[in-house]
Amino acid sequence: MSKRDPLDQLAAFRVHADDDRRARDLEAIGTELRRTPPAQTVGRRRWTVAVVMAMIFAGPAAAVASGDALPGDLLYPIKRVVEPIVQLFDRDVVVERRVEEVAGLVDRDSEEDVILERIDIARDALAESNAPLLEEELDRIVDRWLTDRSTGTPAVTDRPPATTAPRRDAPPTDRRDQEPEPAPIDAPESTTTTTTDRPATSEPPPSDTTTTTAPRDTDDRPPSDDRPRDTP
Amino acid sequence: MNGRSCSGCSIGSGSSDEEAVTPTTGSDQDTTTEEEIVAPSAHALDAWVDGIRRGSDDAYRAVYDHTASDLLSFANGMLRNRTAAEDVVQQAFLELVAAAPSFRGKGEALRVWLFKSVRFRCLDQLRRASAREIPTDRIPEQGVTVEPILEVDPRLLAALDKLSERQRSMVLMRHVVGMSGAEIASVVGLNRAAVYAVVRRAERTLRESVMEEGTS
Repeated sequence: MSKRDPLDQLAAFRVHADDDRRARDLEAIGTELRRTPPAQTVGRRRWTVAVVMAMIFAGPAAAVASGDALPGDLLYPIKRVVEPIVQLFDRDVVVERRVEEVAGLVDRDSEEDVILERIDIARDALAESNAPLLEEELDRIVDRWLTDRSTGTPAVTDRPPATTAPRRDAPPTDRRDQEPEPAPIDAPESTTTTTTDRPATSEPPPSDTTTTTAPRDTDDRPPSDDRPRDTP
Repeated sequence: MNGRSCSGCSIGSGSSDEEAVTPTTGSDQDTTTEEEIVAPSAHALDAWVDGIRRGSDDAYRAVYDHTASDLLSFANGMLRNRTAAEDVVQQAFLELVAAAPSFRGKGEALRVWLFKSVRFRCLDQLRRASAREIPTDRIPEQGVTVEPILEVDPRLLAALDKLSERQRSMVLMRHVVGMSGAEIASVVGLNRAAVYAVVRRAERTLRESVMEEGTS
């Protein structure tokens, strides 16, 4: 007959949670679950870390890769975001990019409206900088585009040539209709006259002081007759 | 008998002296199925681990029903105060709520995690009580005195108190909860052989204490 092991008495510590205690514990757990904001799961946290790491390491790579992006490309917004930083080091690089974008869109045979819009933007950028070579380059690109368009498909719109493409701040109008008559061939391009030399005729008077004739496409308004004159 | 049970038996087999102290729960049935006692419960938790991570009430209810009695029994053995033990178990589950989203592992790991939490809380309470020179049968937080456990020989309780905290917790996990050596090893952070060695030595000490007291 085997003697009872004294350690069997330790089973007396064995207890069970009664219903009342169980209910209280589960209520406390439920309260804690509702109080604790839903924590991110490990998987979601890993994704967050991965995205942050990707932004840290892939950001510069994306900025470089976006250098050749054209409007409509996935990386183009990144290119525009980075440009102010690039412009700090080289002001003309942004203008150059605008011209290159027009060339790229022309090469890609993009839609006419898109190209016209980009030409406008490029001209705006050119206006703010002093880059005559880039301006000539843009003119060449536009001429090429117009030539290709005329030899290929007929013109879709009555827009003026890109060299006179409307600015964004001006409504598109056919300014050729408003252009003044060309000046006489023998008329001097630039004249310096005084009011004393000017005969009192009804001809369009030049300005009353020393003036330079304005470019034809910028001042097409005839001088008004109600301007004050210095005639005695 | 499966391989896991055999491995458990092989550790217990050795000299005749060791075999005399190896019996764990005293009954032959318990010694032959020492691994199977815990395995079904632990595997039953597998289905609820995902729910625990997501904060599902149902999952917590299921895990509580599967583990609360074992945790409570262990804490009761450590603290010898049922109310304090119940509070410790509740705190462990509340801690699980905060830690669950980052919990990795399956049901067995979840059970081990809960036992670790309860064990640390029990040890913390005992050490604080010891630092304040408060008798271990009084829990300062609750201010209640332990009810005498009539079923346990006072000599055995006295011998249990003489064990180190680690030995005591391992003996209680083994004899009160019926945990396997592998599971105890996971909870206390020892390898399985070391667990068997420590438990065997503690059991021998307890038996000898009772015998000496009895003979004297």
